[in-house]
Amino acid sequence: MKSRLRVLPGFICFFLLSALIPKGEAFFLDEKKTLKVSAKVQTRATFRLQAADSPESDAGYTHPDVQAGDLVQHRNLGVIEIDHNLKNLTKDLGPLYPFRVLNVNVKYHLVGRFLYEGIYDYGPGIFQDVRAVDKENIDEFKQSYDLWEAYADVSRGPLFIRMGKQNLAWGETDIFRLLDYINPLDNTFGGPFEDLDDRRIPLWMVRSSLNLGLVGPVSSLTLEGFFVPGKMEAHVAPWAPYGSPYAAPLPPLFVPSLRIITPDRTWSESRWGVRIQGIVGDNLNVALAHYQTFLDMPTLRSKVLGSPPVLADLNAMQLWGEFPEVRITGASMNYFDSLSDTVFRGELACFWNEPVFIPEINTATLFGPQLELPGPLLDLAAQILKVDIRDLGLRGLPLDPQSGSIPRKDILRYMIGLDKQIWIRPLNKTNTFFVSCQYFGQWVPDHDRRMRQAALLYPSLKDYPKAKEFEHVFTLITNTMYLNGALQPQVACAYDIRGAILVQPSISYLLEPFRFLLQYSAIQGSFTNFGFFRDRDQVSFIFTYLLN
Amino acid sequence: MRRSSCLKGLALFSCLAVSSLAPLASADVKPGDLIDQHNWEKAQGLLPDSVLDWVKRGDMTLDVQDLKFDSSQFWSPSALNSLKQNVGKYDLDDEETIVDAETRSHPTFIEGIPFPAIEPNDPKAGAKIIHNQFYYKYTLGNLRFPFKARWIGESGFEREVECYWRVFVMVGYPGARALPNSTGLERLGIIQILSPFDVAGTNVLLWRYLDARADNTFSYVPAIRRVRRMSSANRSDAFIGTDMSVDDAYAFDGKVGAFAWKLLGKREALLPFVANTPQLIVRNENGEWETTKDVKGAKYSYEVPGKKGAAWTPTNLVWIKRQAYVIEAIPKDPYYNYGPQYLWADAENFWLCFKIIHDRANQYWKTFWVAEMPLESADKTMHWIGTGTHDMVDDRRRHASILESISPTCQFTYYAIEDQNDYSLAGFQKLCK
Repeated sequence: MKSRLRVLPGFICFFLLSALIPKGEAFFLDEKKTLKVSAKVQTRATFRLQAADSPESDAGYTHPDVQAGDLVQHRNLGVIEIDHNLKNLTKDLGPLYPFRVLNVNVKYHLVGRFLYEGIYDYGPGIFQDVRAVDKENIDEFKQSYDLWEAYADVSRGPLFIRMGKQNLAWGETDIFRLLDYINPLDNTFGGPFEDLDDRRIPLWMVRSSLNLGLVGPVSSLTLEGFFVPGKMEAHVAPWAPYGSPYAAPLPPLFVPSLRIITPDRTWSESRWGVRIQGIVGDNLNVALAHYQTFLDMPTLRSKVLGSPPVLADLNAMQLWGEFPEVRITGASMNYFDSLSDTVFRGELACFWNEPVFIPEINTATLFGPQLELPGPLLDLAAQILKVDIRDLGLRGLPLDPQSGSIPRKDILRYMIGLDKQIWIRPLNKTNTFFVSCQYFGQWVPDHDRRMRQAALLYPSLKDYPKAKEFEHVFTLITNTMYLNGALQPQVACAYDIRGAILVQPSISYLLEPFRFLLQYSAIQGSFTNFGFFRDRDQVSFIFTYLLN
Repeated sequence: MRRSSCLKGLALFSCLAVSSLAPLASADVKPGDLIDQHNWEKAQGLLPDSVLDWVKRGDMTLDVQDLKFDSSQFWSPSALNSLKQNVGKYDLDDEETIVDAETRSHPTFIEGIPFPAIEPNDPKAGAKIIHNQFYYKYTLGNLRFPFKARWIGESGFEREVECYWRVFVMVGYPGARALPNSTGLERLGIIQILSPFDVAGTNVLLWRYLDARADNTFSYVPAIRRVRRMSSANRSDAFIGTDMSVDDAYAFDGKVGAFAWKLLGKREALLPFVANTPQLIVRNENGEWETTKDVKGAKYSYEVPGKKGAAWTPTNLVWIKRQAYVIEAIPKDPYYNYGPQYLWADAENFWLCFKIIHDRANQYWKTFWVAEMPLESADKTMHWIGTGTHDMVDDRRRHASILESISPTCQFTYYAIEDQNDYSLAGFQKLCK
C-alpha cells in the first residue's frame, strides 16, 4: 500500500501538468516559443503465448511457471519533456548576460518519467507470489519516478558541449550494439522484445563535439568526446529480479547465492571515449572511435567467502556477477550508392580484454582438488541438503577452495548492412518499403575451446552452450506506410545461424491523439544467444495518448 | 517494349498538352469575375484541367482580380540587377547543371537569376526556368520558418505535424559570395519535427551540390538515437505520410538533372495569389527580414464554418490573369513514382504555381499548387514574392495535404542569420536528443 502511495504523487503531478497542455500541437509557455512542454502517457499489456520452460514443466530454468495467456506485462508510463532555449533570456536576465556577450547559445532539456508495472499487484497470482517472496526488491523494481534526462547544451560556432544526464549512441548498427555500448541497457522490463532505444539508461556525462570543417579530402570533419565520471555515475545494466517475466533463466539452486556486484564509484571506473568522423570524397562517411565502458551482461564467477580449508558449507560459495570495464576500438562507415539507390553501412569493433566465461576458470572453486566422498555419503547428503553436489560436477568437498577469476579475450565484432527503399507497387502505390538487412559477425582470435555462454543447459547444473570462435547473426527489418502514414506494418527478424530465430511482426495505427500498436514476438530454436528466451513468445497491445 | 509504348503515350500527351495551349475564345475573364461551377467555362483554357475540374465540381470558387502593384519589380535587389547582367552569361551542360557559357566550367558562385532571358525555342528552356525558380529563392538569402503539415480529408482536418524548416544558401545572394565553398554546395537544409510527441525530435539534414552529384541526406530519429544516412534517391516517396513527396516542395525541389525537361509553351493563365496588395515585411534587430503576424494568410474551407467546397481549398485567394510557362518533366529514374509532370510557372518571376502529376501509366493522379504572396517593406525598397500556399490534392483519393505557408502563425524569416556550423555533421548533433 505504501509503495502505491509513493508513486501516486508522481502520476497526479503528471496528469495535472498534462491537463494544462493543449492537445495536438507543441505547447510553448512563452510567446517567443522558447519554452516547450510535451508529454505522453502509455500503457502496454503483454500476454505470454506459451507456457514457460520452468522446473515445474520439467523443461527449463525459467521461473515462475507462466502459462499461455497469462498477463506478463502491464507497464504504465508517463513522460513529460521540457525544452528551453535561453537565447531570449540572455537579453533580459543579468546572470545570463555573459552568454550573450560571448555569443554562446544555451538551452536545456528535462524529461520526467513515471513508471508503474501492475502485474505484481493485480496480475496473475504467480507474479503476486513473486512479489510476496521478494517484496522489497519487487516493490522497488515495479515502479519509479525519475528525472530521466536532464542536460544543458552550450554551443558557440563549431564547439558544442552537452552536460547532464543523457544518452549517446555511436556507430551504425540497429538491434545489436558494437560501438554503441556507451549507455547501459535496461533489459529487465521487456528483454530482447523491446526497442533498443526504450531500454537505454541515461547517464550523467559531459560530451562535446568540434566541427573542424574541411580538412584535406575530408569534409565536415568532427572531433567528439565524452566522459562519464565514475566517481558520481557508475550505473550499469540492471539485473532482472528472479521471477520477473524477462529474467534470464536461472536454476533455483543458484538464486540465493547470486550477487550482482556493480562497479565502484571511483575515477578509474569512468566511462570515456573519443571519436573522429567525416565525409571522404563527398559520400563516404567514416568514423573512428575508442572508448571505455561496461558491458550489459555481468560476468559470472564463483566467490568463496573467507578462507575455509574445505568447502563443507555450500553457502560459503557465492556466484558473483561483475562488470569489469572494457575498452573498445572501432570504425564505422556508411555510403550511399546512387546506382543501386542503397545505403551501405559497416562497423568493426575490437573489444579489448573482454571478460568471457570459461567454467574451469570463472567457477574454479568447482574444478580444484577435492576431498572425494563415497557414493552413499553423497546420496545421504543429497537427501539432507536437497542438492546433489555431483550435479555441479563435484565428487566431494573442494579442498582449499579458491574463488573463480575472470578470463579475458580480445574479441572482434563486425557488421555489414544495407538500407534500401523499394517500390512494390502491387502492395503499396504511394510509399516505398524500407528494407534494412544486417550481418553481425564475431571472431575470438585467441579462442579457448572451453569458452561458454553463461546460461545453464537444462537440466544440467554444469553444462553451458558453447561460445564458438566465430558467431554469425543476420537481421532484417522492413516496413511501409498506408493510409497517409496512419497505418504502419513492420516485420523485424533476427537469425543466429546456430539455430535461433526471432520474429517480430507489428502494426501501428494512429488516430490523433492516440497511437495503437499490436506486436507479436516469437523466438524459436536453439538455446543460444537470444534463444535463451525461446519460451517467452508473446503478444503486446500498446496504447499511447499523446498530449501534444 | 513496354517503355516504348509508354514513350508513345507521352508523346501523344505532349501533343495534346501543346495543342491545348492555343488561346480559347471562352477565356474572357476580367477582374471582378467570380467563377464557380455555374460559369466555369470562363476559366477554360486558363487553368490546368484538374483545377478546372475542381471549379466545375464546386470544390472551389475563383475570385478574379488584378494586382495592385508593379509585379515586375518584385525581386530581391540582387535578382533585379541580374536580370540584365546575367543575360547570356550561363548555360546548361548535358546533366542540366549550370556552366559558364564561355568557359563551360561550373561556376562556384552565381549572384541573381542565372537565366533571365528565356528563349522559347531553346531546347534547354524548361530546365533553365526550373533553375531560375530555385535561384529566385536563393536571392532572398537564408530562410527559416515554422510550418505545419496538415492532412485534410473530405470530412475536414485529420491531423498535423509541426515542423521547422531552415535553409542555408551558398549561392544567389551577395551574402553568400564570401562563404568558403570548395565542396561545391548549392544549399544546406534542415527540417525539424516539433510535434506530435512520437515523432518530435526527428531531424533531416540535406546537402545539395551545384553539380550533378546526388544529395547527401542524414536523418536523426529519436527512436534510434543516432544520425542515420538516408537514400537521396527515393524523392518521390511520400513525405512523412502526406500526399506530397519530398520532391514536391515548392512544386519542384528535386535535382534538375534527374528529369528530362521540355518547355511546351507560354500561355495566358489564371494564377493564384493570396493577396493582390503587398503584405508587410519588416527588418528585425538582427537585420533579418520577417513577415508579420498581421499578414493575410490563406484561409481554408475546413477552417470556415458553413463554407462550401472541398475542405482543403483556400477560400480567400485572388486569381490573376498572367502569362505562364508550361513545362513537361519526365523522370529519368525508372523507379520514380511519378510519370510525366506538367509544371505551370509564372512567366514573369518563374514561380511554379501548378504541378500536374501523372502516374507511371500516364494517368492523371495529383495536383500540387502554390499561391504567390507579394511582400514589401514599409518604405517599398524591398519587395519579392513569397509562398502563400503549398497544397497537394490527390484527386483519386479525394484527399489533400497542406504545408502551412506565410500566415499570422507561420512567419518567414528571409536573409536569416544562420550558423553554417549547424549544417555540419557536428552541428546537426545539437538538434539531436
